[in-house]
Formats: sequence, C-alpha cells, structure tokens
Amino acid sequence: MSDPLMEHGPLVTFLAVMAIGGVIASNVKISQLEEMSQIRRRLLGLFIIEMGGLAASAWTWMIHNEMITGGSQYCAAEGIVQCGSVIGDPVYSEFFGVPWGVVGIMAFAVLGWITLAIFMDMKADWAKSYVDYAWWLSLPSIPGIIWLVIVELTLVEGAPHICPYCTSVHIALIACMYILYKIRSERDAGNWDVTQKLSKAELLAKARKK
Amino acid sequence: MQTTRRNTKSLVNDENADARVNSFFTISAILTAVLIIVWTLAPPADIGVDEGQLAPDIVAQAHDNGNWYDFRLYDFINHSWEQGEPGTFIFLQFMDTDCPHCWEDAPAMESLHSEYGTIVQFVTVSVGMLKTTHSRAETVAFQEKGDYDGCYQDSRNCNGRTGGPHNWPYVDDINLRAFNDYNPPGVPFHLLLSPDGIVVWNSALHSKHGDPLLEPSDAIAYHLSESA
Repeated sequence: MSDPLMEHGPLVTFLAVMAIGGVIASNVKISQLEEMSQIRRRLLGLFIIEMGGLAASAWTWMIHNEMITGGSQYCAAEGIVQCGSVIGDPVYSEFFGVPWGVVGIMAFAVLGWITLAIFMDMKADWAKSYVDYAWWLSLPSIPGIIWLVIVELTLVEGAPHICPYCTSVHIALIACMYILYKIRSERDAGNWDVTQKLSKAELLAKARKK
Repeated sequence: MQTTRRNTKSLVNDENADARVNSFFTISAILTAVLIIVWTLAPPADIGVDEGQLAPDIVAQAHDNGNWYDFRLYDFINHSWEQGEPGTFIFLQFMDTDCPHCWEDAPAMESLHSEYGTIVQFVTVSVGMLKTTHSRAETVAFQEKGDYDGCYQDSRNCNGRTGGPHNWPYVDDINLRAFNDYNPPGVPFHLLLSPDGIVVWNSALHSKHGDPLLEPSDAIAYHLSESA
C-alpha cells in the first residue's frame, strides 16, 4: 500500500501547475500581467503547462522504473484508477523500447525550448515561424493520446484502467495544442505582440495608483 | 560595403540566436534537474545479460504439457529475494530447432533437467534465428520429439533428435523479440538467473577452456551452493 501523499500529492501539484498555466494563457484579467500582450501571456501560460507536462512525464518514468523491479510507491496498483497495470505493462508501456515517460519528457522539452525562445524574443524574425514548428511538432500527440487511451481502456491486463498521471500528461498535451492553435490564429490576424492600448482615463488612473 | 553588409547580417543572426541559445540552456538546466531527481528517487533498472544485470523480461506464448499459454518471465521472479532466502533459480536456454549445435545440446538439457528440474525452473526460448522455415508446430515437435519434417536446417524429422521429450516451457520467439532483447552471440545460449532475475551466469562469458564454470551443470551447482 503506497502513501496517499506520495500517490496523489504530485498529481495534484502537476494539475495545479497546468491550471495556473491555463489561467495565464486565458483571457482572464490578471493585474500583474496587464502590460503583456495577449500572445505573450499565452506563451507564458503555454510554457508553464509544458513544464507541468514534463514533470508529470518524468513521474510516469519513475513509476515505470519502479514497476520493472516490483511495485511502485508512487502510484496505486489496484482498482480501475491506477498506474500499475498501465505503466507496468510489459508490452504497452514502451514505444519502440523507450518508456512513454521519456517520450513525454523529450516532447515537452522540445516544445518548451521553442516556446521559451519565442517568449524571450518575440521580435526576432524567426519567432512567428517557430510557432508553426511547435504546432506541427505537437500534432503527433493526437494519435499518441488516442492509442494510449485505447491501451488503457482495452488492451492492458485487467482493462479497463485509467492511469491518472498519464491522463494529466494527455491533458497537458491537449492544452498545449489548443493554446498553440490560438496563438497561430491571433498571429495570422495580425495581433502579434500587440499590447493593449489604454485610454487617457485608464492611464491617468494607473499613474495615480503609483 | 559588401563586408559591412555581411557583418550586419551576421550580427542580426547572432542576435536572433541569443534567445534560442538562452532558451536551450534554460531547458537543459530544467532537464538536468529532472534527471537528477529521477536518478535519485527511482533510477532506471540495470537491464542486460551481463552477470549482475537484471535479465530483460520475456512476454510471449509458451508451450508446455500440450498447451500454449501466456508466458511472462518476470512472473517467475521475486524482485525482493535476497541471498540465503529460499527461491527458485531460472535456467534459460536460447535455441533454434534448425541449429545443429542445438540438437547436440538437447540431450544435455534433458540431463540437466533431470538433475536440477525440481529446484531450478527451466525455460527454453525457441528462436527463428537461422534463415530457414520455422513454425510453432516445429517448436512443439522439437520439444516433444514429435513427427515433423523441418528440423535441423529443414532437412530432418524432429523426432530424430537425441534424448527424450523436454518437460519444461518452450517459449515461442520465432519473431525474435526476446532474441533481440538478449542479443546472444549465437545459439545455443544459456543463462542462469537468481530468483530475483539477476544474471549470475552467462555461458558466453565462460566459454574459454579451463574456466571452472564452463559447463552449465558446474555453474548451476556452484550458484545453488553459494545461495544455500
């Protein structure tokens, strides 16, 4: 029996990080981020979600490593919602011999590198085209996610099972694709790094606050 | 003029590279931190066929007592086993029904099994290494000494091999999945695994004449006495 804190704590943390990233990338007003353009905010949120996904992928790799040499203290191994049967499966837990967690780490690292580079220098001549690279790179995750959900629900021993950490990684990937889609649309609409113009009254109110 | 333009261009390129290089170093630092955490909390298992490594898992269909069933090597393994505790060693043989040396090895395997079969789990992995025809029927015929033309490089009937039927699991690895994981130098190839799945004897590492553990029987006897 694994420690509930060890079992669920990281999952809650990863999901919280992704949620924070999602809020930053959304249109919700955040006073601290007022000076940022909408796309810049989305890039920041995207990067946070990617790092959440990277951490969750690393966690699934750790569970995988433990499952090879017995049980894992990092996730339950019994019931419908569990990781043991999915990440510990001898056939489906790897992609051409590479654990899925490592595949996730590599994918999020590359996406994170592109996102951070664009965020750091949005005025660079390559920045706009790099959004497309990130978008195209994220597309293979669709068949990947579909395949892994099929595996969880039908193919692993004792199916159906739902692996919560795997699901958190899937959520991160889908969120990344959605935000990249939004960024591309806004870029195509000519809203690249356009800061919100404040009215005279708003500028005055802002100055008074200071 | 041209030099100035080239310098300006390279400056632009360098400036463009800045954010990408900085981003690369940031992601590298994050990845390094993640790898350190993984290696500290749950490092990847040392899997391989060298002595001291955990043997790769084998998941396939196996044949024993007239039936095919789902086989997983790790089902025979107790990962928490420690030296001195009771446990079953596993003797793993890789062979090809068409390989002449494997024919010669068959009676030796039978005699090993008759000596240690009650205290050691024997498993034969039947591979399709040679470029000859292979089938499950051929594997079963080799195991049970059945009537099947196609053994020994497709030139002999399987019931012609020496020794009697083999009463231990024969794993179907015609697709070479386990073979590629284990990457043996040839067949027959033998491994002795301790009850926790660690390779304690690899026949390829004891092939020199004069090695005290050259013979599988010596290796089994040695390691059984060591763990007692």
